Amino acid sequence: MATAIATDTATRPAAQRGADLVCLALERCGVDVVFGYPGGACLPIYDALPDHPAIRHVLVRHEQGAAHMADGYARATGRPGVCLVTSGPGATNLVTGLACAFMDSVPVVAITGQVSTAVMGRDAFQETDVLGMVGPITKHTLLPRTAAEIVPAIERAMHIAVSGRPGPVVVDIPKDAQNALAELTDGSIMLDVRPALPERAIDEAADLLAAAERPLIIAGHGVRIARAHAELRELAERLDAPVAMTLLGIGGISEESELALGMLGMHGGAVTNRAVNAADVILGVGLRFDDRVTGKIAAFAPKAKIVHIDVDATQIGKNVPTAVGILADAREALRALIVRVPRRSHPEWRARAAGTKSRPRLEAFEARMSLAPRPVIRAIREVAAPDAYFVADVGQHQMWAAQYLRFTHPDRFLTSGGLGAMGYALPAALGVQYALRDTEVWAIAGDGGTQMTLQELGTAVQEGLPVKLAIMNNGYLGMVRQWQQLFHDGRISQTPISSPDYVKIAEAYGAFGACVTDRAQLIPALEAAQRHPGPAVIDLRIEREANVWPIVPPGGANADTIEGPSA
Amino acid sequence: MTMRTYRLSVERAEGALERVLGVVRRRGLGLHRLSVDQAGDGHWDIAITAAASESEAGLALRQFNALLDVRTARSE
Repeated sequence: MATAIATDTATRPAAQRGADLVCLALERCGVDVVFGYPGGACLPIYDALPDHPAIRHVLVRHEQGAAHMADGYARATGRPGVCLVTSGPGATNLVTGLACAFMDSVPVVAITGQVSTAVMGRDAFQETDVLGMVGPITKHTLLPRTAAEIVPAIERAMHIAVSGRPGPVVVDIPKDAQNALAELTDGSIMLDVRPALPERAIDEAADLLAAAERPLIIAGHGVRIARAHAELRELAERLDAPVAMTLLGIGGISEESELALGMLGMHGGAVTNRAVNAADVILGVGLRFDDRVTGKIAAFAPKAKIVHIDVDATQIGKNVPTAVGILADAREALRALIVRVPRRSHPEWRARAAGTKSRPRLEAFEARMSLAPRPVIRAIREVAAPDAYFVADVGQHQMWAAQYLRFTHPDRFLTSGGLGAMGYALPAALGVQYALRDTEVWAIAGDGGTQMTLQELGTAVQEGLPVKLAIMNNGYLGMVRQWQQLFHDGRISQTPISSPDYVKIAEAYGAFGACVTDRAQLIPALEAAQRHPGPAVIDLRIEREANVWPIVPPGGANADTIEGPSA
Repeated sequence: MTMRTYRLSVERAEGALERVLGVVRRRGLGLHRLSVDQAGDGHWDIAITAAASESEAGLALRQFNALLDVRTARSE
């Protein structure tokens, strides 16, 4: 694929400020929004922005929010999300968001202002070594030291962010380069060189899958990034193979499909983990087999030969031994497999893999709770539009959302899967909402994560972004409390957390607020929030000590899954 | 653990050396010797002699090759 960047040299002045070149480069790359926060070292760019009305600017309340908004925008559109901040604290505040995008393969381009080259390395005011700081959490970094280097750097950053395995790229631009003059050069053409399909490996994989008696597919984020949903479903149906999903693979296949097994791993379904353990051939598509998926590696899928498709060569064989590794884009590899494998039928295996999903012990527990997590998540699902997007924060509610929302539309679930960054949900949801103005977007967060980035409610109100924030408020940092209860002899240490009055907070920002303390209030409050034309906050006072089940104990094998509370 | 030498041709770009050293650190290679020579056509020739297990050595080579600044990487 070639990225051709249009130019209109006839109508432009010969030389322009570096700051204008930043904006022109973004325009040429099709950027329509930048999430940012101004400061001294990026003042020239902010000075230029009003002259480039094709680029909207969303003023965030903290730079972490800018990175997460760019992340949400990118996940919703597949296009790079762009954030713009100043040097020093502006850049350091981006770090969590960049690491999140890096871990989850999200194309984010961060433009950071830098102090002038004359004072770089002299500990100038608001100077940090941005490139040194973000190297391990970015796909690439660029430092254009002159105005003439700015446009090529930004174009290259945009290309790198989306090509191959996507990821964040930082362009650190010194202030003197922003102020200097340079000519706008013609757009460059960058080729997206994809590896040729490894035909031999695909033949070997096809042979293994065709001969399998208990085939199983694990869909990771790579399925969604490659837009390979149709191919995944077709191959699964052809092989009659059940499909388990990683946290970020949720939405890779409709959960209405008979073949969908749900999430595997630490908080995956017990039946799903049992199926993985019983499979004789596993096809992993676009995942890295991280520890939350595998549990104790030595005991993961002990009977299976593993075929691993990934676009990143460094992932294949890194965490689990593979029988066949296929270095390729997920969609291309799946297409190649579809034409090679015969149609198979495994009714007994499918029935065994699907198992029984009833959980009477959990239901009995829930009946004693005033506001149990599962009915709350199901109520949100019931009230929300069928094609609504859900952005989960990190913690217990994240797992409840993953377990109970049931996605039938592709790619409607976003969360900070790899980094597990609390505070992600609200700003990322704003990025999604900005990209998809007419779509309903729900953020689901705990009371801990909410208090990390709640100030972005101000951004929601100022920008008129009608995100609905559902706070699963249990007065605890719930997941840590659960681990303290289960694995640290019940010693509760620094996990009870107080909250402000979220209704008052919402109203103070100019948003809608509602508080729910029992089941009777639940649906009316959710519906009122949904009807409200602007942003809304629903404080859901859920059962304080409800736990996430099932759970694989830390360090344990998936076969050690604890299915629920002891009676 | 076996000792091997990685030979890399790397673009002379901001942060390129740090990215190479990042792989050495993340893969836990036992660094024995590191040399960087400026070559004529805008790149560095880097030689890294390090001890590593078979699995980490292979993964390190793939990670070197995955770096955008690295033109070629091989081990001997």
